[in-house]
Amino acid sequence: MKKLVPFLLAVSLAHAVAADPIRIAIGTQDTTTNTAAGGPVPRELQLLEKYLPHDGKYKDAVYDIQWKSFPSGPPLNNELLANKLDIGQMADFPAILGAVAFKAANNGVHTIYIASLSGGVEGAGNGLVVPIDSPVTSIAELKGKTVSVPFGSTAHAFLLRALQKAGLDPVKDVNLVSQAPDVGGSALKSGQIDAHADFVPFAELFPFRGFARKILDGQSTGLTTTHGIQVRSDFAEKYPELVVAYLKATLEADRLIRENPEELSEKIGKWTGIDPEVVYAFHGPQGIQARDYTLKPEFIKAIGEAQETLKLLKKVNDPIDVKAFVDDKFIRQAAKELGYDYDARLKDYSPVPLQGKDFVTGEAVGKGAGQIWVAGEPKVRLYKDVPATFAALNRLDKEGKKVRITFVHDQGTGLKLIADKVWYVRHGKDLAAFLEKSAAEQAAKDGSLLTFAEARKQVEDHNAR
Amino acid sequence: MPGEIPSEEQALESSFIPPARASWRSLAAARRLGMRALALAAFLALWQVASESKFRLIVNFANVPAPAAVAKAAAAFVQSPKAASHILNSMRRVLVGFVLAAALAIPLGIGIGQSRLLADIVLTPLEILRPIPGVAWIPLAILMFPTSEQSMIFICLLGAFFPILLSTIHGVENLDNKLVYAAKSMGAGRRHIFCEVVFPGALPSIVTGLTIGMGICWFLVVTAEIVAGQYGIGYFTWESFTLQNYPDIVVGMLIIGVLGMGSSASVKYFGNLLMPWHRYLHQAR
Repeated sequence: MKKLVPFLLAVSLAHAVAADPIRIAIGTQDTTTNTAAGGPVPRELQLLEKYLPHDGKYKDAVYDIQWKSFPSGPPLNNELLANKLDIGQMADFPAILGAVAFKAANNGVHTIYIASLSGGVEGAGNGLVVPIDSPVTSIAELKGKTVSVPFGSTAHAFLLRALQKAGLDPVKDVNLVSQAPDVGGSALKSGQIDAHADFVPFAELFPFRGFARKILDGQSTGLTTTHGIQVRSDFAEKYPELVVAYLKATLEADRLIRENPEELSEKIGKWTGIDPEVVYAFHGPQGIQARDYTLKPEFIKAIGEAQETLKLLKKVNDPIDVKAFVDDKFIRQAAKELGYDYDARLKDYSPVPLQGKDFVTGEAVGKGAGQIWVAGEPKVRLYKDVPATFAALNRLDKEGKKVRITFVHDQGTGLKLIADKVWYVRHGKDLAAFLEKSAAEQAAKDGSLLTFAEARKQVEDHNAR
Repeated sequence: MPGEIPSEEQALESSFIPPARASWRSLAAARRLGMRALALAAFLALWQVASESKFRLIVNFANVPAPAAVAKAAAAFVQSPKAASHILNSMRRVLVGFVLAAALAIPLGIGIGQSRLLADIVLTPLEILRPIPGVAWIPLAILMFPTSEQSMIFICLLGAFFPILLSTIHGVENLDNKLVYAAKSMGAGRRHIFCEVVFPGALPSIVTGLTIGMGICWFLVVTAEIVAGQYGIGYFTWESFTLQNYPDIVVGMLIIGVLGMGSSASVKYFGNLLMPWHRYLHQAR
């Protein structure tokens, strides 16, 4: 008590002297792993604090930084609209829904889409999974089955497109139900559904946790998906410098992840509850979805297409002008202040390249190399190809070392795959990995189609000879 | 037969109401009805004004859809081909959950009320389960049942189960022992005592439990339909939230409210039909 009274006095005095604190309330999606550079990383490493201005207009400013995490975009939109958040991160679909809701509220404020966080130009990141013991290996086999997806999400659009591509009518041929990721996970375990489509990181997380198998990636649809950052127009008009400061913090987070993906994956895993191995699948080199801060024309187009899809689903009555909704001036300013070349990045579509030295031979390896994350090791090991990777797995087994995760890359699409739940085709000594069984079967015409266990066994037998 | 005598008396009484008193009664009833309609209208008007003026003082109405917007959305909902599916699916889940809850809770409650041993065995675990909210049950509900329909019914069932159980126990425990002794002194056997004293004696309390349980079933329909959405008024409300469609959210809320009120009222009505003596006692007071 004796200590409390002076403390309270000091607090109230400090409050009286200082100007009203400026609120910067940021809505994040901690579990949506590809947005890590906008949420958990700058929050936990206090990067925003580092870039907030304390000069000129902000000489005496006191900042009240608030971070709130949401499982998906819609509740985040709700709080943006209620002015409980100033900045929020979400995918193309909820971004449009939020903008439409702001328009309907007609209170003189709107949202501005100011930067990207991550994107799959070809659609990587969304995926379709089935229960681990399901015999289903392709989307076409889902005819007459129950498939769940969070309705109104970027994964919903992917699923509709994928069904159409497979010649299935989303209304007549399958029973589509809406399930959030957490609910979908439980439903896969209990077999209440035959398949579940979802956004980052669930099509990787569920297989990694051992109860599901991925049968299709968004990449096969070519339907762009992206997550980005939005700000309320009233906040952006009043404090444009703070918006830029926040974006600089996200750019630094992006750089930190790029420079040390293993360490940051561990940390992001700890902060968000998503296994670090899965975080690494997205944020490591040649990740499933590329981190990207630029507003690529494909991303803007995806936002427009999201609106078209929602119109078709009769979920949007009063459309918004997407061109006016997206504004790159803040991210350009942030990039400039950090000395980044925004225009060069805008034209650059390559993910962080996978390069390094083969763990055994030391020769330089690149795109398509195998990766093994061994427990207790700070860096992921690289191996030049699939047989070398499997040989290493067999050795590690004998040494009694625990493998956290193994990645190979799809022969056709280059997509990063969790090695133990995909298909392999042998051509002589070489092994090629495939996510889709049908693609593997096609390639297997002059080779043989193998499962992970069979492929490993063959490598072992071959090396024993 | 305790069930029959009062009903005759009651019939007697209603035939003896003097005409003047009857018309006074209906006048009073009409006045009360008018009062209620007026209150509802005033409530709607207040809401409209608050939304339009973007009232904000602690409670912020700026983004709350006005009744006019809600009425428009309601009209669109009623005309949509899915409206019937939404409402009927939810009604089925609630009804099945409710009936199952009653079928489990009433016998169990009577048993607990009559047997200290049974109470000692089952009451503690049930008391631990009782405060757990429906939404916390979602993951387990999905894992425990083979179909999502069953998971949803289970969540509705949970809502109705506990109020019915507790009211039944209460009804049995608070039974006037003199009635049981009186029946015993007249040579009634166990079965007779149960059928003609214990059960009818606990019935008013059971009906109260059923009425409350029905309300809570509807209370949980949104929670239940998070499990797997396609049709259902709870799902409709939840989807409207996902899609930031605020007037539709209010439409869903109001439909749940009206259906909940209606079904609670019918439970009460049918319950009262079951125990005419109770209605008689109630009116005489």
